[in-house]
Amino acid sequence: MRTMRKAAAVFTVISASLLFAGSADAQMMRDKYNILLLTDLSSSYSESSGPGDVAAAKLAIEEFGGKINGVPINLITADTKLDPAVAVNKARELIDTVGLSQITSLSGSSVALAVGKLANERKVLTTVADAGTTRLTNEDCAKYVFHIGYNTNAMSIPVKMLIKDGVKKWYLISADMAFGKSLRDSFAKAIKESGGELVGEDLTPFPADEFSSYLLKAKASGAQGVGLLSSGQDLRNVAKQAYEFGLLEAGIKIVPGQLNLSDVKGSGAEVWAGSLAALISYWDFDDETRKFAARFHKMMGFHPGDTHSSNYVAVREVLKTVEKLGTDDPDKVVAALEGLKTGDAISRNATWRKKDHMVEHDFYVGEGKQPKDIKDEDYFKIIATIPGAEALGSESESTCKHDW
Amino acid sequence: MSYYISLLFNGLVSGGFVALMSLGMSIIFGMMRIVNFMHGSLYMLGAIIAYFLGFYFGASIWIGMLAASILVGVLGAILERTLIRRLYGLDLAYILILTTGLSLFLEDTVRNFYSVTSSAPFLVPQVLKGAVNLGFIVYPKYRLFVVVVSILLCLGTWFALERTRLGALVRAASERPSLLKCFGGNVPLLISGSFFFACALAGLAGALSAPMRNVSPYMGQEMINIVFAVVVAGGMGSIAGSVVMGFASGILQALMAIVYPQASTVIIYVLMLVILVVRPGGIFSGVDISQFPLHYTPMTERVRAFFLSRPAAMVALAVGFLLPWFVYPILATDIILWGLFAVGFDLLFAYAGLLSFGQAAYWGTAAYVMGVLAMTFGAPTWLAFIAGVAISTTLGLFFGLILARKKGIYFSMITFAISAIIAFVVNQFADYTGGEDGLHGLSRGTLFGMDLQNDRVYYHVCMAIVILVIFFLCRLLKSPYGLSLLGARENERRMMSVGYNVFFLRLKAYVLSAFIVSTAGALYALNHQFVTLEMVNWRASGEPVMMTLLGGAGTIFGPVLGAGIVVVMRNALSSITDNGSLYLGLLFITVILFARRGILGESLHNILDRQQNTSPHNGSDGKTAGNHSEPVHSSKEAADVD
Repeated sequence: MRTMRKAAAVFTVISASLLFAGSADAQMMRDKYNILLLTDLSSSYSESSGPGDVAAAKLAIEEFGGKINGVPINLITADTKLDPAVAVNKARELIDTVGLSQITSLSGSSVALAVGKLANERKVLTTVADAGTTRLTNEDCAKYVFHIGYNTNAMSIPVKMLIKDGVKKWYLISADMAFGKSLRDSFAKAIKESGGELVGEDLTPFPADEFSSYLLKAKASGAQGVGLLSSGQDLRNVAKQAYEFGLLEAGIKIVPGQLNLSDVKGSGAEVWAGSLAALISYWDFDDETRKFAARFHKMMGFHPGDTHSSNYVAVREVLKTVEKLGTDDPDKVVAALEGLKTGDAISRNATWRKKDHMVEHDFYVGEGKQPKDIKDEDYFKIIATIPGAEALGSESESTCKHDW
Repeated sequence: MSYYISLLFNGLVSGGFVALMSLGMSIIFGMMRIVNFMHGSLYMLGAIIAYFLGFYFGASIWIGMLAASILVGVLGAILERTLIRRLYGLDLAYILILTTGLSLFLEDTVRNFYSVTSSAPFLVPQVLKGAVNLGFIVYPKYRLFVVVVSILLCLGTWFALERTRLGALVRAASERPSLLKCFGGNVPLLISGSFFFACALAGLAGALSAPMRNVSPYMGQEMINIVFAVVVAGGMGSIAGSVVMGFASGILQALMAIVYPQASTVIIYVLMLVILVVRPGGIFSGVDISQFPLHYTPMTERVRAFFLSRPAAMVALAVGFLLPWFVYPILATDIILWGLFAVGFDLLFAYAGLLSFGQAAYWGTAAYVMGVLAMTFGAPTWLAFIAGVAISTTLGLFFGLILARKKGIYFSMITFAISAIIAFVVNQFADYTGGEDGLHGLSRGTLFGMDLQNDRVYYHVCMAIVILVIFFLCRLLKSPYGLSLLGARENERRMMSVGYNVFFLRLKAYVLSAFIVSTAGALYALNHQFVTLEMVNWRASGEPVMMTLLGGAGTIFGPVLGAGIVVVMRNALSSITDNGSLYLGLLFITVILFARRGILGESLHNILDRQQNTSPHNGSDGKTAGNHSEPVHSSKEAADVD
């Protein structure tokens, strides 16, 4: 009698544990799917990233009804103030206390590199959507880190086009930090490969609001094109001052490090009229993009910029993968993302590359419209579409060791 | 040729802003012997007011300038009457805390209403738009306007002060206020009036800069450092000195931009250092500040004895052990390490009487040296740590030799310049130090088999080190060296006449402080496992000053308490509210006005020293639990100096 009861008890326990063990394969790690959105909410990049990133992420989460595999999606936003130290501390604290399933945005290359190292150590899936340094997919590539959006190679496409048009001599004014240095390297490479000539360059302190000395130097050097290798507030300032000091009037072409809608608005459309810029996505491209833009506009009152849209794609694609797998186990998600081919209005012909974790997609070259032709934030005329591999650099060119 | 002239004009533009601000600061210093660290925030307010009027009401720069100068001037005068007046004649550190607290408060309040960074080109009226062709250059009209306005204002102020009757009254009030009162001069009105004028100048400078610069709540912060350096280099209190150095600094920065852009900020500090070494007192002779009063509210014997006693140590130990259970361990480690940093600063401040604005130099150098040795050269963590601390302390010895002869404001400014130069050097070797990106991925390693990656274990290891250092410090302060250091602070001449080498006393204190701060810095970097430029930034130098004065200078545990308050407030408040800095600023203001000995110091002063005054017997009541038994006569003699 007693043995029977014992056996029954053991049987119950074993079957119960098997029941749980059975579903352990397809189980979420926690009772919430925590996404940490680390972006710049108050400093130089707050308009190109900032609240727009948050809105884009929310739009993606909305499409899943706020839940994934039965657990609620929890979006945690934190302000990095463009400071890697603040960002790493915040990320580490959240990883240690509530646990994270995804980190996204990471506005600013320095922040992205620092948090990427931490996230890789703690095995947290990270989608860097707001940074451009090529280091993320070369010497600093990591198993749990994916680089989506753009890199500085892609930003140098207009230079190649302009050199073909006869703008041979170039001057580069770069911000002295990871992003600026990566831009400088990418642009210098583009100039060399297309047969142009680098007549001079300057590394400027970051952040700064006074660029007139460097612009005057550029003008005096006889350059036909000037690379304004920064983004956000710094780019707005240097571009405005280029206009003020008559560089544009003298026929010098300017190419930005990374241009967003907010930057055109901030410097004034007359500054960018006729200039070429590489665009990650453009809200006014076709009806599909305009639909997304309308949803975004309703939430924020302005149209989505390049990096905002990248966040939308990053969050949405990872959520889709997690839904398909039934789990947010980082190793499984990484394996599923590697080699993933997707495509939609915002990132056309996209591939999540296996070797270097770069997300390839189509890029566009936009030409700034004249102020009188602009109706409502439609600042660009798309003059070319460039396939991702050509813009970003092909997978085989990457120096990533892929040692995982 | 036109290129260089354009650069010269650029220099005059940025120099103009600095000159206007320096002019104001010099006037204030000349009148009140107060260094107004709030001047940067006033500049910011001027810009905000102009931006606001331009954005919402379409006002032009004329109205912006007028409104900004009047409103900011009035605000300045009100603050002077109500708050700043109470701190006349007191140690520079108190003014620093008060005005810093006010800055934090102002900046955070503004940030609440206005958080976007952008400039205000809409303020520029049609007549000033575009560029003007002067024949030899083509230059933007508005910038030319700025140069003209700043030169006119500076000349006008100089003229008013030197050649008018009102100016004579103002100068008299700053040199011999009591005598002027006898002659019937209304000194308080003159002081407030000068303060109004100086602040109005700052507000005007802000409004002028709004169309050109990024208007943000923090735009005053970098400005104030340069302005301060310019004022010191030009001669504190000298109008001509401030104006000339102000324009010179602008031109120098424009020149550096073409020669070596990364050095365009640090060159001002180097210039200041050179000037202070070659011609102490600044280029033009200003107010003689070697007689700068340093009335510091001291700790009485009883309170000091209490801190050096066993029960205090017991309480501190208990708190130390329990901390990681109440607070996230990494935060707890931050608290005790910032506390150690503050203790190192306090040694120099309260015991040696030297206010250092540059202790972050050692906090960061030790961390960076350790980091570079570990990451680039692959040294094991413990070895890199020891090397980092050793090298940093040696650097302290080197700088101490230069510094230990200086006193007062010059000491402070030279320490500031040194830390700015170190920050620059760190950024230059970006290949090793990571520059702006910082040095990441430091591993804590193991100690005697204990894995330091565990945050709690690391906390206890750090605590052990902090306890050791504090214990050593307590012994030191009871020793003959400690007492002679105190003596040197109280009366340098007497100590020298008795035969003490005050220079060596001070040097030892400086090196010791550098050692303590270096240890704290290296441990701090290991706690977070990265080193960033923040650690050598001037803001990091300001933290221990705040923490020490908040907790109570000269009380050993006061600085640690202050560190705890600041760290916890910053962290906790950042999750509850966005206005952490605002409350922190208010806290500083309140403490400085009402509890100058710091929270711990003031409460103990009330408990211990009041008892001494009310009871006919001295000290050894049972009420002051476990008070260290001081000999009876010394308690009686300890004068309650305040």
